[in-house]
Amino acid sequence: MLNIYFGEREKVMHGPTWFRFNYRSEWLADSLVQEMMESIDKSSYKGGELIESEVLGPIPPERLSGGLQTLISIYERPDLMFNATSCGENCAKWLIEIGKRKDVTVNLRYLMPFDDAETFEINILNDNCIVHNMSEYLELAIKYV
Amino acid sequence: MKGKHRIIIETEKLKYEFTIKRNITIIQGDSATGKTTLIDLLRLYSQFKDDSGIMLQSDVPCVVYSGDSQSWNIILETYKNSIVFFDEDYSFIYTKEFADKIQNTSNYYVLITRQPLYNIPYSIQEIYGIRTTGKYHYPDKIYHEFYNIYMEKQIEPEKDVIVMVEDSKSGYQFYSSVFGNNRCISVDGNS
Repeated sequence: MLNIYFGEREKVMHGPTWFRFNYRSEWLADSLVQEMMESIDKSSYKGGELIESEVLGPIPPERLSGGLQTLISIYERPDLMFNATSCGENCAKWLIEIGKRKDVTVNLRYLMPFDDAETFEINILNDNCIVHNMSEYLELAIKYV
Repeated sequence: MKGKHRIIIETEKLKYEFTIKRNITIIQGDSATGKTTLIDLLRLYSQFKDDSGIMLQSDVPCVVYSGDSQSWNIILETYKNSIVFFDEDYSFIYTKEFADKIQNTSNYYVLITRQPLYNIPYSIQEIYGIRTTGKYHYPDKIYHEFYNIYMEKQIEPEKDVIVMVEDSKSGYQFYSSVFGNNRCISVDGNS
């Protein structure tokens, strides 16, 4: 499940910085990582450390967007808490998808809209309450951002 | 510093062109639109100038804040009549101390952040996203421009809405301007 702490918290990782010095090449071969890469960065994984970006041409993983680097870190290291504020609105549906596959906890400091999905399960840890749609989500999240 | 400042920064592969109009500009929006690349280009130009192969056209200096999170107060004092860019995740930009500090300087500030800045007054018209224009793909040059995030969003309510405000002056004037005269009614309260 996707668990969210809203507002500023301590011991929260900055995704792009953490990813740059800690990612593992094998993460890039994961099918969900490749789907997210295609969707957010318009890029495709070619093998090894090589990624082909529609905009930038051939790039290393360090040049993926900060939002995608944070999503990959959240997915691959569910034992750590990352600041998902580095993720733009186009990352929202992928956070939901990650939450369907793994139990992850993120920190969020803006009102990320999850309106791509009609229903979802997000645990708002500030209230320890599970919300299932945008209406329920907004009612709680708006108090903290 | 006053007025508008047109900025063009480009390499053989990338070009950004935008105008900074007020003392506070916010950049936010989707991931992978080129926000960090813009900051990288400006930072490298500051460091290597023309030797970087980056071309910058601006009538005022453009600098990227790259100091630590403790000394910002001192470092900011070294910038004069400049446009100062802040990449996201400097937590001090959300503090009242930072808000107070930048109100009394000669610089303009461009802040990349999705987190609300409750202590800084800024215009909704100066909140921008970055988008790629044209149908360029690598290896063609990619052109980036700013677009106004909120002015391009037309949100129509699902039902007709009438807004009732207590007063007949500032509150009425504000909401009449937002919703239109025929959607706002003053109930002429006493307070």
